[in-house]
Amino acid sequence: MAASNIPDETQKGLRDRVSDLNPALVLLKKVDLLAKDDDALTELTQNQIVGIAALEAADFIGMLKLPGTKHFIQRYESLMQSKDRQARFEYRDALKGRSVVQTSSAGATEVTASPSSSDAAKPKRSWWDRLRGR
Amino acid sequence: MGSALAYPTGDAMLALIYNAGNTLRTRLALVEYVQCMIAAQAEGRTPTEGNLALRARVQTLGEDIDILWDSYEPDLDISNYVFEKRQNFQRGLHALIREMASIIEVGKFLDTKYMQQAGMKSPAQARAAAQGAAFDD
Repeated sequence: MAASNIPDETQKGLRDRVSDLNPALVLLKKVDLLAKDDDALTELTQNQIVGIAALEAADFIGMLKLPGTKHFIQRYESLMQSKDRQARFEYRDALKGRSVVQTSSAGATEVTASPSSSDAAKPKRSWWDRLRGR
Repeated sequence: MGSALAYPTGDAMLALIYNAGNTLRTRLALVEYVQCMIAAQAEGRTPTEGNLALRARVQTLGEDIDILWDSYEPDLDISNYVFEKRQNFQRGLHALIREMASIIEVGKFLDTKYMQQAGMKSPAQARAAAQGAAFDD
C-alpha cells in the first residue's frame, strides 16, 4: 500500500476539532458561567458572605459539624433573589447579543439592532419598593 | 477507444477549475467525484503491472479523501477563527489535486478531445445563442 499523499504535519494539524472555537459557542459558555445558580443570580450582603464562608470553613475543618446549617445556607442562596432580579436581566441581555452591522455588496448598510439593557423593559417598582429605596 | 466515463471526468475537472475559489466542501466533493470516475476507469483496464500500480495510487487517493472528510467541519468554510486548520485542509486538498492530476496524466485518462467536448456548450445553450444572434439581426 502506497503512503498517504497528505504530509504528516498537515495530517497532525487536521486532527484538532475547531468547532469549539465558534464565537457564538464561546459566548454561550461565558453566559452559562455568568448564570450559575449559586453565584450570579444571588445577591448577598458582605456580612452574609463572611458569615457563610466562616461557617462553611468551620464545617470543612471539622471544628463545627453543621449539616442543617449548610443545608439552610444552600437553600437560602437558591431562594435569594438579586436586587430587582438584575442578574437575570444581565443573563437575558447577554443571550440577545450585540447589534450587527451588515454591509451588502451594493454598498447599502443594514443595521440590525438588538435592544440594549437600557432599552429593555425594567421591572416595575412598587411604591413600597420606592419608599424603601430599592 | 476511450472510456465512456472520460467525458464526465473531463466535465468534473472543468468544474474543479471553475470552483477554484469555492468552499472546501465543494472542492473536496469534486475531487471525490473525479477519483470515483478514474477508479472505475482503472478497474476496467487490463491488469498489467503498470495498471495495477495505477490502481494502487487511485486507491490511496481515495483513502486520503476519507482522511480529509473525517477532519472536515462546517466551521472551516464559514468561520474566521479556524485559520490554522483551514490552512492545513487547503494543503491537504492541494496534495490531493496534484496527485489526481498526476494520475490522470500518467494513466492517460483524459486527452485534449475530451476536455474540448466537456468545454463545449450544451445543445440548449447553442440554440439559445443562435436565437439570440437571430434577434440581433
